[in-house]
Amino acid sequence: MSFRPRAQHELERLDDDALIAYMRAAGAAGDESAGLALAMLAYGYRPRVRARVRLSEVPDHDVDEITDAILERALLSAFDGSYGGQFGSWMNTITKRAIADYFRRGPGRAVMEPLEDRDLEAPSENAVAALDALERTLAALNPEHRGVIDLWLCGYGAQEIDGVSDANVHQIVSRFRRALRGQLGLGPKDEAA
Amino acid sequence: VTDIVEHLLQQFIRADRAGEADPLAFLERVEGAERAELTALIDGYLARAPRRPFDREGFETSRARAVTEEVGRSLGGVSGEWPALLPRLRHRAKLRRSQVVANLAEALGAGSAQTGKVARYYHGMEQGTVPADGVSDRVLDALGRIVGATAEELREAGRAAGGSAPRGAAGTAFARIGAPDPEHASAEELMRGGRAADEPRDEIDEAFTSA
Repeated sequence: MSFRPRAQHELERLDDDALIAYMRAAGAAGDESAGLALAMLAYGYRPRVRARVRLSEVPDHDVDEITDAILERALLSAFDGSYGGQFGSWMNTITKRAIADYFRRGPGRAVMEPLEDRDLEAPSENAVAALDALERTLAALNPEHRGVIDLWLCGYGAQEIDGVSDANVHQIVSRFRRALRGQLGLGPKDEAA
Repeated sequence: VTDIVEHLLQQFIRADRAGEADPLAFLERVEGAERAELTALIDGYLARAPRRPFDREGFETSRARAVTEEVGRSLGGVSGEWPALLPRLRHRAKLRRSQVVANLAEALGAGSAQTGKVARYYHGMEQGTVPADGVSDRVLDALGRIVGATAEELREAGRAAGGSAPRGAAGTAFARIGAPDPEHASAEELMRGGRAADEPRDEIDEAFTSA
């Protein structure tokens, strides 16, 4: 199959997996747009990865280094056979492992081997455990409610979530947050502050 | 009606969509249980947020450019993951490239006239142009001690990267798209003192090209 180079505005419209497929095809064809696709992924994800590393309480002086190590690992894995699709989720997995590695084994190992110890659980005493609580809470919801919470977490207001009334969105969110606080060991909100 | 946690979450999302938002600036406005809940919610948003639209000007001045270049050199070169790993280890050790070269030259017993050659080979390892298979354990042992890794870890990284990435074509395809790293200039100046075209092969060449 012949390769057709695409312009930046066309690449911008591709979802992550399509962009990665394009990057591989462009690389195989020796087309320079492979570098552009790589740049789009690195630039597009770096702020979010960095913010997650910041949230996890990695000290300031190590934040950028850990962020870059995570990005490099995720991008290289698109070519090494370990990547199975859904780049955002894959990036989340690598981020979580790298942060856990940082706290468990020190910054040097996190930089060297962010994918070591694939079954590593985050230590309960640090912020990583708190970050896991949200996913555990979501996993306990039924698919419909999980869909509502996913949209709410992406910044959609109740009026923008199709098929569910405003009141029901508020109710689902309220229950979810109560369950989240339970996972975090915080107790009901009105007792928390 | 929204409470302070939901209000700050929404503010953070708006700020993130408008540019790069620092989550800690939002977390500082609450404490205790509310802070813990807001941390989890902001992380949940970040885990779901789509990639930021590409901006070439912003890219040129962002750290994403260096990441792109290092990954590109790893994918397109012949040095495995060294182009991504070695600069990272060097930064962690708080060493400039010229310091790594000087220490490596000393560890290899290079004379002053051979330091430029060591610089050229080390630069090639970071650039992905020195075949990883040819670099001896002696070099990797010495380099590992300088940057804080074992020879075996460096050897493994030299074998890795790319996997199915097509070498020859990818070398062009993943060419740098940003301006040169300012630190390259000093390395290139140093390299000008390296091996002349008619210079005989010596033990430094052997150490880097015949493992």
